[in-house]
Amino acid sequence: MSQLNKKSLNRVKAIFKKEIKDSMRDRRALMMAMLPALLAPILMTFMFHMIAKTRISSDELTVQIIGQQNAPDLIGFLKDQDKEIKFEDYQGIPKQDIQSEKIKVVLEIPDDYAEKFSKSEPASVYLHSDNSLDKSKAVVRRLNRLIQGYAANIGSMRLMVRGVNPAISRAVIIEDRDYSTDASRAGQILAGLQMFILMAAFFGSAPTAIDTTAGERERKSLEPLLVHPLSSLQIMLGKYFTVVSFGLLATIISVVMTAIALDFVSLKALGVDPKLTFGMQLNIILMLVPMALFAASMQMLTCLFAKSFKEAQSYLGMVSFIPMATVIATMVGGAKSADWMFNVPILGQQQLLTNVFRGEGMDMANFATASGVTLLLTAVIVIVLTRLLRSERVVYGA
Amino acid sequence: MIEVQNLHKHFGKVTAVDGLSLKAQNGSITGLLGPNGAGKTTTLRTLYGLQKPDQGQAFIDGVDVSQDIVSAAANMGVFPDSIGLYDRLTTREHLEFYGEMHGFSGEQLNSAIKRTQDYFDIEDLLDRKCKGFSHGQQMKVALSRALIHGPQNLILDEPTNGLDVMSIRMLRELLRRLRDEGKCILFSSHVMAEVSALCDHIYIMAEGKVVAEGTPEQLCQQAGKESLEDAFVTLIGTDEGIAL
Repeated sequence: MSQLNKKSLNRVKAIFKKEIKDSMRDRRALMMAMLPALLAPILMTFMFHMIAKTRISSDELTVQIIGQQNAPDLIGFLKDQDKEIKFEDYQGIPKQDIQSEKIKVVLEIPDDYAEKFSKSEPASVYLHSDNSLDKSKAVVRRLNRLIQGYAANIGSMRLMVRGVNPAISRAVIIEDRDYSTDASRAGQILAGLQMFILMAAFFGSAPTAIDTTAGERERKSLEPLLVHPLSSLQIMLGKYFTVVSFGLLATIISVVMTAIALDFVSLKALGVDPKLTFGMQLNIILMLVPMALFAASMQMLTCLFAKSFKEAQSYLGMVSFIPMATVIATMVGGAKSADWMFNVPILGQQQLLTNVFRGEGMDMANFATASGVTLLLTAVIVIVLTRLLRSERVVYGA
Repeated sequence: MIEVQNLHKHFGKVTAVDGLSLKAQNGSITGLLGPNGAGKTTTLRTLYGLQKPDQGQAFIDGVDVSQDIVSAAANMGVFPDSIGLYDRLTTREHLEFYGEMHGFSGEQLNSAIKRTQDYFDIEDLLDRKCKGFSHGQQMKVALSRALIHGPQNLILDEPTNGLDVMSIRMLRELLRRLRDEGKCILFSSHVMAEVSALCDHIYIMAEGKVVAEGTPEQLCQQAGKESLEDAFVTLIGTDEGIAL
């Protein structure tokens, strides 16, 4: 490989400049490259925001009530215990109105309630709802718990009045500690946001990776370029840096957009509320620079073997799937974070990213490992690319 | 000066070039005439270093192409069989880019672009993007690209392919002018009229070999024919794949 002095660097720069100019003029490809980075974080965050919102609105519940006057004490207790519950007097046939989704939940207190209650007999109340609706389920569950609590209270008092220790009636107590829903949903949210940040480099550099390799060959401009007095390394570096810069640009956009989007919403209701501070954003961009370098080299290598623009596009679809598969594998496969993961490009960056998102910061040793491995592999690929550029197979497809 | 010595090249079982030697002198237009598939393009591609010969060497001004392609390329202008322009760049941007590929910058680059304008009129094309250029217009840009660094040697692969009459006339004038400036010009063609109208020295190729060479007069004598056309047919043994 020839040494790079100032004069030969000028030619690398000239190729870079020309490729950037050429790519910037291809508006459609540019949009294709940057749109995912720009929009995915917004859409993703908005989606989670909507999920969070439906959970909050289920808290502001309205319960239709029949026979309120039969149990003023119970109603008083419910209102006292849960300030969010609103009761509305209701007259009608619960079954019909619930099935036509006019109302969600009806609490019916029958006329014989007061009589049974005063005789210390079990007094029935009825909860009407459609249990297949998630929102109703949450309301019913809350009312259920409250009324159980009321019943237990009254029961205890009755026992005490009769000189019996109320605890005797409680053989088993269940203490419900549910971590599952919120925790796993929080994990999914983080994984989703991370996936788009990781993929941004791949989306961003794909069109240029195609255009500077398979595209150059298809429009037959590679041969005229190669007859000029410059080395394969100069040409390859000029092209490579172009591809990398689009990948980096997309990465920066996606990180900043994610941070902005997260600033606008609160996901607290989902049990997670990630915010990316400026320092975290810098950390993330820094850790993804090696990955962007790696992505560009991989994509160019893939495209160099493609016979046409179209073929290159479909190959790249598969390459871009790698980061997605990585995230899904660790998320769904439930693979625990392990030290060896930092030795694998993309997977290593994903692990670093997860740590920063969780607010654990970036471990410098892990960062060095992941970056070192990724950069080493990238250098090897760039050397292979340089070797291949002038091969007859690449130039003439022979 | 361009020189090829004992060139051999095969693709799989097909022998494209079979022991070919040729020499193109300065101040002279040398033609490589042969039917399609005779090995003309392969020979030229070896000269600009993009195809490695199985055996034999190619020299540009005495520089072995396989040893030092960068030095060889600096003294060589190439008009390959594919024009390959960038649709989204203007003519001026093309010329600037290829000038920079030769290491030009600043004033040197500007005067190089002016010099090509001296060869033919591309004023109205300079600031237009190349998308939608006619074949003749594309050819002007491609020729300017080949001449941007004022090379001593010019290699053209079937330059008249697909050109209209006006463009062909323009190309002929350009090549004669460059010859008179002392340049070494080597071009390939399968069109007899082209070669006989232009060339000072002709190599006739068939099946990867030179079957005859010399000035047009020498070739006529060799074949014992009055006209160059008849001489070609006699020398190649067939007129298949050769255009009048």
